[in-house]
Amino acid sequence: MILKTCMKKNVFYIQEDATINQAIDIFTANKVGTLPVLDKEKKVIGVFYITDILKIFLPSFIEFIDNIDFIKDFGALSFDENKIRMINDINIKEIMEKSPVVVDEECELMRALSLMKKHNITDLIIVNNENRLLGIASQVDIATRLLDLLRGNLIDNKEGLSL
Amino acid sequence: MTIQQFLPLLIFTLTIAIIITEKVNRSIVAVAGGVLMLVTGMQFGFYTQEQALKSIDFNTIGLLLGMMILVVMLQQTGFFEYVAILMAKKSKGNTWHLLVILGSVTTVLSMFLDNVTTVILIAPVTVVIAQILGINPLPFLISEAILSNTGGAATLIGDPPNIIIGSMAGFTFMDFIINLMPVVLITWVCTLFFLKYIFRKSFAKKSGRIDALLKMDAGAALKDRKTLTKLIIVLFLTIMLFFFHHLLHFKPSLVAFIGVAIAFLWINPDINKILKEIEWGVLLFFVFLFIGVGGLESSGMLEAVGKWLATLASSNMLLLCIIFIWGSAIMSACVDNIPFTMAMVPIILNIGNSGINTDPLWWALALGVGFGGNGTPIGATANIVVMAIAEKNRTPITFKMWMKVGLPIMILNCLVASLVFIAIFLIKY
Repeated sequence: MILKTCMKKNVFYIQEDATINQAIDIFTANKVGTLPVLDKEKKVIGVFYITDILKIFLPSFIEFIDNIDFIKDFGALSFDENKIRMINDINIKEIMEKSPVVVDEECELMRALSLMKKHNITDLIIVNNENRLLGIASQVDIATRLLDLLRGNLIDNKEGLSL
Repeated sequence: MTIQQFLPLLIFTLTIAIIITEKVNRSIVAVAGGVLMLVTGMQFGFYTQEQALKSIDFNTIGLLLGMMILVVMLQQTGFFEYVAILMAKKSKGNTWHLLVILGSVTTVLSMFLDNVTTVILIAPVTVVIAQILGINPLPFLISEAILSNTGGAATLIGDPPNIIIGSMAGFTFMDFIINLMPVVLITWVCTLFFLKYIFRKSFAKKSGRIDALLKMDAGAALKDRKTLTKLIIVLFLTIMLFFFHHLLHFKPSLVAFIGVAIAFLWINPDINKILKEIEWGVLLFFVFLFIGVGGLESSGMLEAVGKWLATLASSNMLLLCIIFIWGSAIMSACVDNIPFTMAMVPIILNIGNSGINTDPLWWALALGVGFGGNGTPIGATANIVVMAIAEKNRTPITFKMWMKVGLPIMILNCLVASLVFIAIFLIKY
């Protein structure tokens, strides 16, 4: 089975010249976490995750200390006004991820899930051969479809059903 | 000057100069410099492969490696974070007390374990504590590096120059304790209060979230209590052995590896995990610098300098000692202190050949090199580590910032050392 059968076609996206505030509006209004970034020709040039914004707020020591289990209370780091103010000055183009992992709609489910595991992403962007946005599929979307098919295969004992 | 004297001087100076620019990794430069020195020496007749091999002080290398292994094993248990948090909580959020506590922890640890690694491991936790309290971590980071540089000068194993000096001059662990610990202790306390003065504005600010500090769970930072207990016992035995190694006629490197062997057998760790964390680049750096300095020595350059200084040594030892303290400090602040120490060793040995008692000169060198490291951000590797962590934390320390703190302290330290030397000389003679 291929991605075409389980991807969402109504994708939330954002333009490259948008601000972080605009991105936050889309994230919070629609409860999504991944926004493909499009250029003026509507081609996918990057991807912007909600966690990219959060990275600005998370304390920097997370990157250089191994074990943070001992911190029970983040104290003065819990709410830092300066960081909130910082986001107004940043364009998403500066902190988005360029060259995101994209696949076409004929992509097999197994391959899709493997790519997501390897690249550590939760949503996979689907494009056509001109790199224009066709859809998006989350790990849950793909995995549930795959599990359904596997289970169906076992019950009906159909052999040779290609996935 | 003959070509056999000019070439080694040129190669060595070039090696050091490129290392200072930091444009190329220092281990790479050291290896290239050492190899070039040997090959050139063989070509022009001032250096042989046998001499090169002899110039490598394996006692130094062995001691460094042995202690590195023990420190890595210690670090994997979460020991450093555990101690830092446990002690920091005792400050109850008072910023001055926090500095004294964290500074003391770093210093005591760096007297017995590698200076640099201690700072590498205490600095991140310091940043966490400071940020959670809502105070600026920079005064703490700078102080930890400076205090550990100063304190590390007190013991044989406290910093690499001391390891080299001890090995080449034949000083024991106790020799260092008897001769250097007193003056280092005095200097350390003066430095601490000087830091209090320099950072007085930072220490006046009260930290907001003391409750968050007190909620920190030191035990949660301890990843492997069983191994830590065993390691503490092994380290205690090893340090005891260090105190008495001269009676057993054990070289310090053997003592270190006795500790490693016992730790390995008792704990049965994943060797590959440990070996991955060893800084092999540093060991290569040492080996090939030894070879490089060996070339300088076999060309006769250092012997000539030694003979020249011997005349001053016999007429006015105190003056030469003072010159050594300040000269070594300045050189150590600008140039890497390892090659400088390595180059000074044959010089002092040559002065000794004229029958002069060079003990005071060795101590002057050790103190000068140790204290000089505080002067500039590049003066000691611990400083570079602190600068890197500050940079990663997006609160960088500029050259100017460091010099404002480090340079006066270096001068203060050398002043105290000089006064102590003058006092001792007046009493003795």
